[in-house]
Amino acid sequence: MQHIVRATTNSPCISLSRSYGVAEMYARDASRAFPTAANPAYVCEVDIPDPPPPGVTVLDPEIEVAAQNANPLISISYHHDGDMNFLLGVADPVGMAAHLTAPAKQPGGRGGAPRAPNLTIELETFVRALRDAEVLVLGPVPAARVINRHDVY
Amino acid sequence: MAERHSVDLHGKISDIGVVHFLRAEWKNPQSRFVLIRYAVHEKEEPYGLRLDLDKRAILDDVGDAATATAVKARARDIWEIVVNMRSPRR
Repeated sequence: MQHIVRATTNSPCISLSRSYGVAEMYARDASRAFPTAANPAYVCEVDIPDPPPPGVTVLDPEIEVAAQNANPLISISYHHDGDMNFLLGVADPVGMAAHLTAPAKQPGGRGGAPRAPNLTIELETFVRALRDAEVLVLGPVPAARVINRHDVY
Repeated sequence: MAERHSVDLHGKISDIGVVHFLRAEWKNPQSRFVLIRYAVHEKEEPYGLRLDLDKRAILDDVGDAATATAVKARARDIWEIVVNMRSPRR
């Protein structure tokens, strides 16, 4: 969860996306220099068979988080108490920050102080992983499994 | 070619030893990342540091562990400057 939500850089996992569009966005916007035709960024297509090669484990973040929060009665889990637009703010916390910080609606007459909705790291992990069509890989992916490389600039 | 946008960081973010923050740059106004340009010993480095705006985190390391930690601790201050410049009515 720290890897997906907080950018922990000492994670043993590598993030891959099932979406070319997401991968292209990361290549174009998240390189350490702006890509150009002469010095492009790359999107690599990786073909991982089922079962994966020895030493390689592929994790679905949604499954991993859900498995640890399977009892809705005892776990804070990934439920929020905001309105239906709250998830837009979780998916785009800068561009749609207003949805993220809009006060949680509460029943009248209780006198509760205004506050933002509950947001757990589990929910952030769910939404970010879904947004990015993200899977995590543990272990080295053999170079032979990289089947295409696309220039991006 | 897309126009390059930037916000000046001179004098807004304090130096960390020999590391001096110059500016934050981006091309795509909707980009979730900006590049932080910086100088070491007054010479600008060819590669910037990626600031993930959604995570409010600098993804890259500079120098030794203590310097890298101190640089990453500036992420929130730089984030404030960039986001207020890109969407001041937030």
